[in-house]
Amino acid sequence: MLEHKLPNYHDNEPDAQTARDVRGSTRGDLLRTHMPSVVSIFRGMDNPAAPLASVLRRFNTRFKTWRCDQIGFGVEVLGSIWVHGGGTIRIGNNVRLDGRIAPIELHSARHALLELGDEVCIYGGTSIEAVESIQIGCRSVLRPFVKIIDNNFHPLRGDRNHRPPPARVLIEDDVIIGDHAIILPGARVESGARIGARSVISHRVPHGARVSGNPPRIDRIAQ
Amino acid sequence: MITQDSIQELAQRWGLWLSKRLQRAIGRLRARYMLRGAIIGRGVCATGRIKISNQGTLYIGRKVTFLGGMIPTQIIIHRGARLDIGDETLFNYGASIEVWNELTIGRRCMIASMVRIADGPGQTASVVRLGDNVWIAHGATIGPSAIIGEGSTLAAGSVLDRDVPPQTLAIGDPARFVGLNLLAGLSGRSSTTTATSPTGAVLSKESFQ
Repeated sequence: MLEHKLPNYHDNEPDAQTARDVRGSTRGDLLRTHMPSVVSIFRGMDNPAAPLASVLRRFNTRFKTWRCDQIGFGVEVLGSIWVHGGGTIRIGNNVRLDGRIAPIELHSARHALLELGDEVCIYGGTSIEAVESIQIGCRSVLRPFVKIIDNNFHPLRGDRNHRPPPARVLIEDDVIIGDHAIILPGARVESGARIGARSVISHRVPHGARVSGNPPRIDRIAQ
Repeated sequence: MITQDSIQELAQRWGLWLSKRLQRAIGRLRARYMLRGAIIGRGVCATGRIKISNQGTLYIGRKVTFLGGMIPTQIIIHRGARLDIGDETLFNYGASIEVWNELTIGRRCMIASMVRIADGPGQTASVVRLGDNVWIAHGATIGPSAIIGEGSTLAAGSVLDRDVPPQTLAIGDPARFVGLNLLAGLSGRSSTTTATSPTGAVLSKESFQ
């Protein structure tokens, strides 16, 4: 294990530091010592095609999220995602959408807003459907097969095709939502809360609380 | 008064209408092909994939719709079993139905995404029957034996293993019941709803508590 060496771009230039000391640091020298040459890319790395792969991945992400209105830096999309609807979808920096086990659905109806904050991580089978507004804060994690809706779509009695008014959903920073959990219209999950698997939330969940079950109960509140 | 905007709006509306008709027409052909082992009525439409394994009998009424989505709808009918689906019933994507004995779904039912309906594992004498106008919300599970009365609703994510009277809302795991008429009375007092739209945000919030 100790012999294992991490890939290093500067592996083939052991005397770079000394060379710079002797010659003095001109701009050209700095460039030469800090820019990996073509040879060093291929010699020091496990996967010689890694730079190409990263570029391809970036293109792939771009291609899969072309329907979104705003995308941050370093967004990574694995597997397939299904983006549809005429509304606004914003994705923050370093968001990871992992749709490998099942596709991820991002639906934003006309005039609606769907916002994912920085470093949000969403796993496969998750479906987010915005009719008015759904906002997910930074560093939140949505485990597989979560459903988030801000509209019930059908009334309980009377004409089933009539659509009831929506209620906004807000999920704040650092929230973890368990597998198969359902977030219903009007829910507000405050920062640091953790929601257990298969629970159904339609109300405010206080800061740092742990909630589980259906109907949901608060297991622990923030210290 | 004909303006450019009005023409554009008309074109948009007609385009939308046309595309919907086209989708429906393709869906009908698709359903004809995918449900070829079944006895199906007129106007059955499938706008998504259906995974089907039919070793029993499958009756599908008129104008039944299977919507497409991320995950295919799944129907499994074991040997000698029977599945009846009533007219104008709607299935969303990812619904999974497994039948060992007998399963009946009424007319104008709505079955949302990721719903699981199974009449028990194995050859027990269990029957699942949904009445007319039943709404099963996202992620609910029904089985192994349940008879749901007409006009009832099963809330999202709930688990049901017993009978439900008509006009009732069943919520939770295990499911508890609230009468829909009682709920309508509550919402009427809060004066946010009208007679034409008996449910509002207030009602839905209370109902899912």
